[in-house]
Amino acid sequence: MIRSLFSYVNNFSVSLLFTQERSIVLQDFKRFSLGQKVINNQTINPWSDKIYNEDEREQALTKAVNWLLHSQASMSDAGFGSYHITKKWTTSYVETSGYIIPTLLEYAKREQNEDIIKRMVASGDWLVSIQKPSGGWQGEYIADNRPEVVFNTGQVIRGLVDLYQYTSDKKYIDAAIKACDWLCLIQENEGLWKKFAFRGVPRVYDSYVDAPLLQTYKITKNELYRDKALKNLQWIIDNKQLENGWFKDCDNTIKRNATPILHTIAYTIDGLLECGLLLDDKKITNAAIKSADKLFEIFGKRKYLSGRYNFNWKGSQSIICTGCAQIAIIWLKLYKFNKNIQYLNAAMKMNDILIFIQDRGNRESPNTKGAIPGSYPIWGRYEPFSFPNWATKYFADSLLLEKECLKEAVELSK
Amino acid sequence: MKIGITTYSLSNKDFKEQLSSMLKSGINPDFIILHYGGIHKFSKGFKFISKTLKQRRFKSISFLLSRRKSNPADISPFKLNEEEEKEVNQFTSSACLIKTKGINDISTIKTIVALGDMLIACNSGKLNSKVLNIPNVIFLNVHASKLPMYRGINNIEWALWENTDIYATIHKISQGMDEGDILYQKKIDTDKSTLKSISEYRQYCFLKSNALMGKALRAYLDKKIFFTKQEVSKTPLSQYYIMHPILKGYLQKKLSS
Repeated sequence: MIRSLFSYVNNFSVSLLFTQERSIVLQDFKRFSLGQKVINNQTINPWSDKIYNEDEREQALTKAVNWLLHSQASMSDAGFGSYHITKKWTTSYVETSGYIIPTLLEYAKREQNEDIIKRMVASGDWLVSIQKPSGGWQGEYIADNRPEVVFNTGQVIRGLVDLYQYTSDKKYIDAAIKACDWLCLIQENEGLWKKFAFRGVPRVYDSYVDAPLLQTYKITKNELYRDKALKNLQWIIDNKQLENGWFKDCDNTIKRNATPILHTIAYTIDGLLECGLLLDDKKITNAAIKSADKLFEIFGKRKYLSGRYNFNWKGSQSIICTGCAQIAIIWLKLYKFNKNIQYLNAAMKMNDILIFIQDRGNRESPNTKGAIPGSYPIWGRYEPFSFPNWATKYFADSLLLEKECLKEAVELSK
Repeated sequence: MKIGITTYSLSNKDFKEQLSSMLKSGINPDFIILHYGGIHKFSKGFKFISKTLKQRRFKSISFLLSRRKSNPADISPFKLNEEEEKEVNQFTSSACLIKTKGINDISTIKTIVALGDMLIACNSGKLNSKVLNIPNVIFLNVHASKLPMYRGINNIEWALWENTDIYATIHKISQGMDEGDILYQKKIDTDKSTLKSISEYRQYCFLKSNALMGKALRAYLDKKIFFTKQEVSKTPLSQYYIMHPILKGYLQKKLSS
């Protein structure tokens, strides 16, 4: 606690010393703390009357993509780092560099941008080059030189599978196969991952590892990948999901496991949904819908989602932007699945909040312009004073998918 | 059976339309509860301004002012005719008018306990459990959709988006949003060639829905119809929320084309 307090004091004081950093913190203070209104005993949040039109949404997407590309250009390798307003750029984050590839590849295909495609290929080549002999990829930032981690490995597979599907270059699928073999080898009999798990504890958000396992199964037809993924999914649904859709063992810490962050809740739901749809399995898809609908209900009532949720879905802590974008993506995927317009409507409102958070004016440095912070306000508990690349990645994904769904919805309504 | 009707303003369009339909069916409400009416409206406004000034929340005032747009009902072609207006005004000028602070206020509860068997809640906002739990009093509402479909907000817009028929439902008010027992339900015939905007659809459908109140009440009093339970879906998706303005924009385009 003392360390955390010291860190906050340090971050606040350092950020207030420099013009760029000060303007970000002060803007959040002005917009968030002073921008709240109380009318008829109801708190009206500063984003509640913010609506962005389609052009503004497109601009927000471009800004987010440009920031991701700037993040890559700021690294000494082809990976993606995050920006901290006092500690500046980190080194590349291996896991997220993996799953940023599908985002930017999708954008590049849409815009027919060869340069971005080349940069994603470079990123894939770099990831292949740093694969551990076991087949896994290390946890956290490259400079940390940590051992391989199950979850992080799964996310690198996502990028490589996507690159393989685009380029047909065998080296990407070979690396993905090596990683999947390793994941299958170290899975416990009960279907969970304990060895090489983050902090050594099994977690339900490994459903987000099952999806890339299944993607690789679809390409290689290796049934072991499917069976191992199914075993893990069964463990999650049968043992860890409550009747109200909340998940046990869902946080990426041990201390706060009773109130998991929205980010890991969203990983879990998205993983279940992806797997359910890939396998056309109703039980798995419905498990995802159960939790996604609960968050839909909360969002409908409160108009935003909190950072953490306890077993009773009681929210706490300030907004975790990554989680919000991920939940919007889940709703958009559900719209594509069952065409319920309410999912699209909610996701669009969530994206309005995120565009509001991203829109800090035009006088920003390229290190932060277009980036989504870890928390809103920026001094929130999750990734305080920083712009983790995964927040902007999911925001870009959400806007890309929203555009696709909106087009579909308008066609259907005609 | 004593029947009352609530409104925040005697010139409210929905109130007038529902009252007119009741009068046409030979039902003269025994009392009208005017909440936020008269002096209370000003005292509430004064309290809000003094609180806002104290808190230096000047934005709250500009926020409210920005939302104070002209009422489209004033220029709507879908409204009561002169004769109906006259009948309503004549009735309200001599009706038993009870002014209260708010629909959920203790004075309102006391009034309902003393006077009412049935209360038509017209543009009253959310009734809290203290009001809804008053024994032996039925609270009625008109909702322009085929309940249990399109419970919630922007029901007409959602029905138009999904190309489904628009209905009017008269139902009991319960704790859940538009979940109470249904008394009467009827399809509203709409003509695409005459209705060209969301606003026109809303005005037209509300006029037609409100006009059913008297008919439904008459049939109920004559014991021709009864309340039936709604099959309320447990999924949160069964409740509809405010339509995103981008979707509204596309809907508007669709209607005007």
